[in-house]
Amino acid sequence: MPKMISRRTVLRGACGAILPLPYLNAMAEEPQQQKKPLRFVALFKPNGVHPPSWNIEGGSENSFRLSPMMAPLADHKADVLVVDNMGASGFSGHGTSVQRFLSGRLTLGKREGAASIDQLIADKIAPGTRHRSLELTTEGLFTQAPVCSYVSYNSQGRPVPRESDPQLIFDRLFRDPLVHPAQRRDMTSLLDRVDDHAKNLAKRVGKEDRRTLDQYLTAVRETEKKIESFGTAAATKTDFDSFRRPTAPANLNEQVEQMLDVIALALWTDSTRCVSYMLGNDNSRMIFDFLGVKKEHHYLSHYFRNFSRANIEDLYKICVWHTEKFAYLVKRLKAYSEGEGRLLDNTLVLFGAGMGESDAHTGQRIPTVLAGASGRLKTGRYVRHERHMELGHLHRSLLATFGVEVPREHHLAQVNPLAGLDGGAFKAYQEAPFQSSVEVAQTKVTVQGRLRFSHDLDKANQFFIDVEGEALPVRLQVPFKTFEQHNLPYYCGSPVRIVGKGERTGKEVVVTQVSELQSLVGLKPGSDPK
Amino acid sequence: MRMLLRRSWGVALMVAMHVSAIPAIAGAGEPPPENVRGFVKAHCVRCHGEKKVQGDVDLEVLLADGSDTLRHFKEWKSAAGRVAAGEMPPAGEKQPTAQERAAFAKWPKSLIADLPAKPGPVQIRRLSIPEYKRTTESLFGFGLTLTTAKAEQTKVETSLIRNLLPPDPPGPSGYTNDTGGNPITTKSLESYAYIADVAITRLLGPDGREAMEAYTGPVGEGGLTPQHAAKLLDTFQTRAWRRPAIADDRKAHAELVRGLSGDKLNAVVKGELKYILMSPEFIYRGVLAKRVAGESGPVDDFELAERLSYFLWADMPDDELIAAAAAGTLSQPKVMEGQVRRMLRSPKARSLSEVFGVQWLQLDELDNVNREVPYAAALKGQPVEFLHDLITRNRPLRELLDSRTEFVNAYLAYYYVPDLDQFPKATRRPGVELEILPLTRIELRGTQERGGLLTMPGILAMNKGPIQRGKWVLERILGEHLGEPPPNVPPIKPTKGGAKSFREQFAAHRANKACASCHDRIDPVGFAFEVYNDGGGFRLASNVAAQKVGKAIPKPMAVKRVEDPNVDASGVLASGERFKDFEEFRTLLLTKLWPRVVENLVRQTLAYALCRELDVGDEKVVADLTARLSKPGATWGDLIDGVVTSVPFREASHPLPEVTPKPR
Repeated sequence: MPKMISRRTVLRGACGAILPLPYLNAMAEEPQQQKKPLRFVALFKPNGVHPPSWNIEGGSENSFRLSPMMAPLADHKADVLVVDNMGASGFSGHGTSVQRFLSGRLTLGKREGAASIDQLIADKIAPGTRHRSLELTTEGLFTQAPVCSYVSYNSQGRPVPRESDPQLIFDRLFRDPLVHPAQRRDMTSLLDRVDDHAKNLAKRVGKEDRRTLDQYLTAVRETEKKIESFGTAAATKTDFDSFRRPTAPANLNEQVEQMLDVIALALWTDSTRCVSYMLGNDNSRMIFDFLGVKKEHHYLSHYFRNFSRANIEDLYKICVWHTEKFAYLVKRLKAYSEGEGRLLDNTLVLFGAGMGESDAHTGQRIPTVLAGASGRLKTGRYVRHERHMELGHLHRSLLATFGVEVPREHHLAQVNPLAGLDGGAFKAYQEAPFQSSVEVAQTKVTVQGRLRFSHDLDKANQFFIDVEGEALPVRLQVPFKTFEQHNLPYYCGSPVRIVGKGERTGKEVVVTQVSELQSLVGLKPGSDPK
Repeated sequence: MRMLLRRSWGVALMVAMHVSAIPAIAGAGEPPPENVRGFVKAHCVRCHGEKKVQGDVDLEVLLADGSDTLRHFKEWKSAAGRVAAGEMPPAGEKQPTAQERAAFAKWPKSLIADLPAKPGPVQIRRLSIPEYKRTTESLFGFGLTLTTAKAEQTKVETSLIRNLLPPDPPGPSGYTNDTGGNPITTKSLESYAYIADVAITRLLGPDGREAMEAYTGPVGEGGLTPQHAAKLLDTFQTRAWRRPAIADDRKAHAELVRGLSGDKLNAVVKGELKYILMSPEFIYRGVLAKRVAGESGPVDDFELAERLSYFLWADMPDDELIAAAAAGTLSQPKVMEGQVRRMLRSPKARSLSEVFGVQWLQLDELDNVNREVPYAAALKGQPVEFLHDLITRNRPLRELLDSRTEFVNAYLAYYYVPDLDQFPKATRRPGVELEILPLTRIELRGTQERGGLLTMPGILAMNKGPIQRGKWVLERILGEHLGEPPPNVPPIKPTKGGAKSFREQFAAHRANKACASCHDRIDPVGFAFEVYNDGGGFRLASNVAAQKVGKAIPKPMAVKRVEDPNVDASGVLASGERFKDFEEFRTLLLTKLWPRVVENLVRQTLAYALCRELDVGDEKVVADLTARLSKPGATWGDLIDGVVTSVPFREASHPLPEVTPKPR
């Protein structure tokens, strides 16, 4: 008895359900040695990032500082695993980035007939649960390119429809007459009553009308039979009645937090074991008015072409909010106890995107953070791989964690897993040595050094080249066309040689036109090791 | 043995009733006259009978079943129409004399010339999805929506009801409110129960307070009292079942709630409300309509209120209609006329364009004509707003095809450059890439090639090429029935070689006899639209290349008419009328073909209002209304008045119940 009470956890959050005592009793009766199933949640962040606010620069596997956009994870640093250098493509547009997130595409054009990993995992772990998987989102279908609205794909490679209403999902999970004893009783007596009533009505009408009422009566009786045959066998020991139904959300923040609450409850009650949830479509036009933002997310994500200090601050607010929601889910999963540990220990959460930098749509350094799955992931670390690695490697590892055998015809079958997630050895990123120099001859500038974003939000549309021994800053101020054509964000953080037009003033060396850009370490879009 | 006996009794009674229900008129119960039999044998049965049955028309069977010619009225009428139009017998076959042709063509109409209008029975009919949605939401006083983040350029079904219940397919009438052939399923019953739960939970919760007080009057801090609860249940049942709760029900409600309070009272109220919503009286129409077996006459006033409200609003009758029905005055012509005027002024009358209009003209096609939601909304909004305007401003019927009123927004500006001065100033919100814009009514002055339904960019773009356009005009505007094309015929692709070779392809197509019977009718109508390209642009305008939906508003510019020898919009209708361009074709529609357009309007509107396919008993009404409304000046209001005052709308005939004698 004392043991039972010690495991009792009472949650009182903004919308939290209060843990029902009967469930704890039920749990206490379960054999302790029974292993809890590992669950999977994929939380999708749309429209990439402004990299200087997301990327971790410097630090090592076990000693690193969270980036500004990761700040909301501060309380959970020990429970997360930041994975860096994911994605090896020059470009990952909105349409491909949604498919990259869970479908492990190494190269474009390889998605025919391929299921996304959440679906492969669901096939493996769903048996025994009432709901095979949940595919969730926050908004409608982006009709200009419908593909942007889906991250989950079935075994035919077709998008799986998704839903957005927390109340509807809650009701389906916890208020269905089949799983909710009081609902079942009410429904049965209601059906009895309308059955009698309709029979009486049928006596008063002609043949045609009686046929219509007979159809009604048939439906009533079939529903009764369905409830009856379901019986009490599947009725869980959990008292779902004590779960508080989400209220109508006032804004997107409440909508998402309620959905995350429902997801946590669904996992904890073992109603489902596999969830994908999109915080928005890629290409999302949502306006985050509850953050005080008045412009569309997609518009702001193109921070270079739509540059203003106010715009980049608004984009930053949106991206931090994404991380906050991930942190919220982690917190929720930590709060539920399960077995000797926490629900989070038996849940693997993947938070991330399919796009890195958001204006040029680069396909490298794609935000990727894992959480939970204690004993299977070694969390509290920063794993930055030596080279840009396509997300497929990560997916292969996650499938292995769930014991999923990849079908031979699936494109991931040919892909090596990503080392290091479980704490094993991996080749960590190390900056390659390079020579740097800057030469200005009249208007021609030749510069060699590390290309980087500006760290100053007032200059988010400018780039710098770190040149050792050069006293003045070397700055790139180029039009959008140059930015996009040379894919500047792709090479950021690595040494390059740039030839172009510019000048040396008393304060700086400034490059305004680029005629040549070359990576000094052989960085090439699409050079991913299989 | 007992079962058998019972069934045979029933059948005997039904047959007796059926026979007595048919009025004694010429043609009924008689075989077709000798001249008709001769005509069919000489000209038709070789392809439509004996061994071959082309186009699913077997006239030999019809001839053989001579005992009740009226039963096959539809088929005979169709055959006569084809013969009258000169389409049958096809060219190359032996042709009848003009006299024989005329006699055969006139015969089916003579069958019904003296047939009085005969109403159908009141039928129990499940509410269609739009009706069920509007009724539920009117009843509760709030919408049932799903939570989804709002964002421009996305499409999402936010209605809880439309999300949970599958859409109804169109019934034999062509409209989805004709639900007879689409019975309720276990799945939809479960959804009805869930929807009821969601709505009742909200009504009884803090968010539903306002809606609740609309039923109960002010509710204090202590929550519902038994008096509140009884009033709620009585009124809710009256409104939900569309007739006053009977004394027994009121008594039962009062007893159920007596002495209860708090959660116990709420639980009882919840159960009763759900019972009301799950009963056939709510889910179906006509359950409680008065039926006097074997008699024919006006429907009761509550049934009339229901017919009016579902026709004009696709929604339940409001309190005012129910009150008029309860007072027994609704059926008085003056009262009913006043109610119809009032109803047409209500915002709910939008259902006439949004439900009826959209289904009649197949405007849902416009959802797919452009991938950008704001553009598709503009293209679809044009005809919907236009129809709403015609109906609610009581405009002349002919303005459907000939009007200077157009609904526009900035995305459509390139189609209307000469009238740019009338466009509202478009202001773009900063940081918003593309948003749905409202439509504004303008009166076209400079744009000569637009005006009326047929020339709207979306209507032209949703039907591309002569075949789709011809078929759409024949079916939707002229009310003709075309069969499905025979299988294995490759579609005609527009050629780059110019209009001539394009036309030659069509000619080759029609040389095939199987194709010709329909394409002789379809193609010429479609050719009239050749002055408009697939995007709805006007080919003879100097800015045709720019005539597309788009974000930018054009600068004012002079648009000239240019001649293009490759554009040929002339044609000869299957019935012989010639036109040299689109304008002449439209003039034909408004003159010689106008009665056919009006007859189609009458048939479409009547079928929607009655929620069923028309039958022989409606022919007289169709003929009378068509004659009346074909006169100059007839308006949309006249059409609606004509329908709501017609015999099949106002009256019903009630079959005798199937009597089952009690075994002794």
